[in-house]
Parts: sequence; structure tokens; C-alpha cells
Amino acid sequence: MGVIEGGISGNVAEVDGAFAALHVTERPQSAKGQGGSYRIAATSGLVTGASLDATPDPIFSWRWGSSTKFCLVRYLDVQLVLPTSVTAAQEIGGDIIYARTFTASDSGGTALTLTGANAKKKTGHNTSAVTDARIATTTDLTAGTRTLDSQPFAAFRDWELATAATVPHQLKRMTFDARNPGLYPIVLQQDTGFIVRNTLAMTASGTQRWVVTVEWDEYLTAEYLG
Amino acid sequence: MGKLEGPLTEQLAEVDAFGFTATGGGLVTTPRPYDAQIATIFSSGGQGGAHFISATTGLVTGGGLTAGAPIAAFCNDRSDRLLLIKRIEVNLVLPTSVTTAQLVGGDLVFVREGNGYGGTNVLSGLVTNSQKKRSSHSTTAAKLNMATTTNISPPSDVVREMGPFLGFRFWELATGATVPHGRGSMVWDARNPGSYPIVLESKGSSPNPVRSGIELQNAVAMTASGTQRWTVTIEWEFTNEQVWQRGQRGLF
Repeated sequence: MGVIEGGISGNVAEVDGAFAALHVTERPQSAKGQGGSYRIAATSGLVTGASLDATPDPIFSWRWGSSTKFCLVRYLDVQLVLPTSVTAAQEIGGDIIYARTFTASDSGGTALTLTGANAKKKTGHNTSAVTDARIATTTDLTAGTRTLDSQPFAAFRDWELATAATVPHQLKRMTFDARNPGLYPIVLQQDTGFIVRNTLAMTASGTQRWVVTVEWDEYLTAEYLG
Repeated sequence: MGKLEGPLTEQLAEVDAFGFTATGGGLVTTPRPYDAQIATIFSSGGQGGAHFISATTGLVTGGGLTAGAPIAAFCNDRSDRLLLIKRIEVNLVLPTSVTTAQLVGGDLVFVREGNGYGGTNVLSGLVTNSQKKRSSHSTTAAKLNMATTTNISPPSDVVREMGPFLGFRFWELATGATVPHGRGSMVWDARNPGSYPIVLESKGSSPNPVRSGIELQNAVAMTASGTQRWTVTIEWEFTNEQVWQRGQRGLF
């Protein structure tokens, strides 16, 4: 028989009387040392339909290049709205796909600013070590050199009505959510990342506006045992 | 009285002072995902991993699409592993509307023997490390067969549960309606560690194998004029029985 005592405080852990369950107070994984916890939301420009063909087009790119840290992506949310409708109704689609063995980052668009205290959940955390993150402005990004997985890990398809339809433009959405500890997060090792893509050709008349939200933690590799 | 100490860090676990009673607090913990990767602790090796995929069908034509017709099937294809499904999301849109308004829907059913479906196995012939949440994990032991333009055929010895465990229905308007096309979706979610995942077993060999899985079915017969586009997203982990029992002793 024994009791559990706090290592520093000397507080004693209690066991619930009704369910005989040990009391615990859950905390996020510590990002002390050289790590940190971050969140950012990026909005594209008005991406013109003319630049989007049947080959999946990169809209948002994320590359992790650190050899000493892991990037744990806990939450990803992607939203798309078409501010300018298409002249003829059509199917639209997008996906998120894992990218590995980066040797050159994607280019074009607008690079996200992750220097200094940007995106930190706590100012005292370290500056993010994300190598390159960018989002499209008026055309799709230019793909760098990387190997994409065979299949995406999130995707949507929807039907967009033509300009004349007097109904609200629909919001399209895809989410990856591993904030709950029961689900394995995306663990980005050196030169891996992910790409948000438009997956169907757009008629030239339409435009797209994408909003991409990323929530991630950074740890020294020795601090993350998983 | 005792203290908990990390074997590597030698850090002492702390107990929160602001607990639930006047005399005792709560042990401070940082929850982690279940580690399916354990490779060397057990004699047979864990060599598992965490994986995810989102696969989209072709334009599945309404003609011949009966109630109960299989659209996709996911199964465990390795007898020395367990597949733990943590999350399933299914979405459906009708790019080509039906000529007459009708009910549309989908169901997910358990399959106790389900290896050998038709369609395209989108987990076959993958590029290196594809679909892994972490590149160092092992290659998955799952199959995901998807429809292209017609429903997929089940294996001749398929054994299904009597009823679905998840389903959705919506009303699709006819072609002339200038309103957004109907969308249907269903989500099964066991990401919370307190929720038991779907555990797909794979045991035995021919002539009596068990390759358990799940089957996505079109739930309502479609008129020939319409088309369907399905997107299936699955997150799963695979491991071996020894690792799983160690993690779930008393619940297995």
C-alpha cells in the first residue's frame, strides 16, 4: 500500500471515493527547452479559376526541415468559398496530402511570417523552426521538389451552382483533428510536410478564397517518444 | 508514501495542489497517443503504425445502384496484426442530379469476413511511406477498395452484420431546382481514448479465414439519371495482439 506524493510540493494524490479512480489533472505536453506551441490562420488571395487545371494545384504548402526537432501537427482546418461564382455549375474539390523527401520548397504566393514571436501560443516559447509555409495569392503555387503520398489524407468534393443562382455560396471544409490524445498526430520529420491542393479544373470565370488554419507543437526529437 | 520518477529523466511526477478534496490533489499527467509502433518489447515485435487516407470514388452512375450496393470496403489483411479504427468520415455529393426528387443515403456495416472485394484497392502499390503519420512507422496491413463508376462486388463468402452501425439520409431535389445539390455525411469518432475503437481482427487462412472489416453501402436505390461521388476518410493504427493487450489489459 502506498500513496503518491508530489515530487516538489509534497501534495498527496487522492483516489475518488465513488469510483476508486486516481485523480489526475491533465496538461499539454511540455514544450520546454527548445520547443513551443503555435497556431496560425492564413488566407489566400482571390485565386482565379483560369490558373487551376485538372492536375492538382498547390494552394498551401508546409515544409519542415529541422533535423533536431519534430513538428507535431495537431489540427488542420481548410475552408474554401467561391466569391466569384462559375458561369456554369460544376463540381469542385480539394485535398490535403503528405509530402516527403523535400529537397526544394514550393514557391510563389505569399510566405507566412513565422519569425520572432509570430504564431506562438506563449511568447516565451522558441521561434518556430518551420522551414517554409506559403499560401497562394492570385494563382496556384509552383511545386518544389518533394514526393507526394499516393493518396491524400483529407478531401472534399462539392457542387457549385452557376452565377445566376440566388442562393448562398457554399462553404467547403476539411479538417484533421488530433488534439485529443487518443489519436496519433502528424509527426513531421526532417524534410516532410503537407500540401493543400485544388483538385478539379475551374472555369476561368470563378475565383477561390482559401483559409488554412494550422495548430502545431515543436519538440526536440529526444523529447518526443512516440 | 512514494514518489513517481522518470527512469530516463529522473524527473519527479508532481501532484496538483488544487485538487478535488481538502487533503489531496490530482496527479499531473500529459496524455499521449497509444503507441502502436513498439517494435522490440515483445518477442513477435510490434512494428505497427498510425495511418490515414482520404479516397474519392469516380462518378458512380445511378443505373443499377440498388439499396445495399457496396461502394467501398476496408479490411485487415494481415493475420498477425490488429487494425484499430479511430475515425471514419464519409461524404456524398450528387454532381448529376436525379430527374425526380428522391431520398438518398449511405450505411456502414461491419463485415466479419470481407477480403476480396472488387473495385480499386487504393492502399496497394503505394509510394514509399505513403499514408503514414510518421515516416518511420511500418507499412499498413489494410485494404481499402473503392468504386469507380459502378458499385464494387463483395467476395462470395462475405459475412455481414445484420444492421448498419452508422448511416445518413437526405432528400435530393430534381435537376431543375436551382438550389445547392444535397450533401450527406456521417462520422464515427473514437479519437477520445475513453471510446473503444473498432478492432478489426484477421485470423486463420483458407478455407476459413477471418478478415474483418467495414463496408460502405449505398442505402437507397438510385434513379439512373443521377450520379454519386463518395469521399471516404479513415484514420487507423495497427499493432499486434500482445501490444494491444498490454495497453488494454482488463478490457480485451
